[in-house]
Amino acid sequence: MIPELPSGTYVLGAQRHADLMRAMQSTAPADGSAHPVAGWLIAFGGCVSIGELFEAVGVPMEDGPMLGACKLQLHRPLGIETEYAVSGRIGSIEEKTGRKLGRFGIMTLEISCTEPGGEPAAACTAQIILPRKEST
Amino acid sequence: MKPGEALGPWVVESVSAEAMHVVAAILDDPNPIHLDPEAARAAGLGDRPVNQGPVNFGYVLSMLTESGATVRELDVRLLANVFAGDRVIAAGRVEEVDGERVLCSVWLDVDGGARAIEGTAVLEL
Repeated sequence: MIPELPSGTYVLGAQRHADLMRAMQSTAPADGSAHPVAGWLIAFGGCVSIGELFEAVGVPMEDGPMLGACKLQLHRPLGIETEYAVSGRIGSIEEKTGRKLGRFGIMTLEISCTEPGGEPAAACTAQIILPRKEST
Repeated sequence: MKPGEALGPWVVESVSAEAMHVVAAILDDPNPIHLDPEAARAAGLGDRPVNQGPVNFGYVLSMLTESGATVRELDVRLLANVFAGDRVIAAGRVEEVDGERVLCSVWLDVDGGARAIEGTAVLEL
């Protein structure tokens, strides 16, 4: 387990943002700021990729880890072509048993994004379900 | 905005499998269930690629932002998958207004299917 995730930075480029808007069949906010889903993109893009995360906690992608819940806090509109500092941690991994999934873990990630001036920009708390496949 | 006021609906007529490839590259998400129907089948998820979770709650955010609101918080649970070809409808309802702060309930439904997303949003007027 890696409680502290690697810190880093992330810049959401204009082309990448435009590609995301097209893929989501959505339009950017009229004020020129990034679409609020950028909070997720900046949080994970500056901290840890999905593939790296599951590798680090020992859950193969083919086991079917999935996003269960997400809380996104946007302290201010997010900028395009703005460099954000990102830091995060694994808050907890809680083991559970359910009728549908059998044994599984719920991993809670807490990631913060900070503006170049040091002001908080966004925070993302994500709960990811980690199936615990029985080894044969 | 007043309590009880409806938000949306905001509709994606058909979730695009091609767009899932674009989003996978942008999110750096290599999970094959988003890219390959065979992988979705092998995972027991049916025979169509599965849309990325952040895109599903992104539709809810689009419903809110395209109504002119500034989103300060989104708190959602992901209840069911959305698949390529699905028609999805994002909507919501104003629950409380406190000065410039508006608390809303929000959701994303698959047309003819399950509720995929449910939760709350805080908007700033």
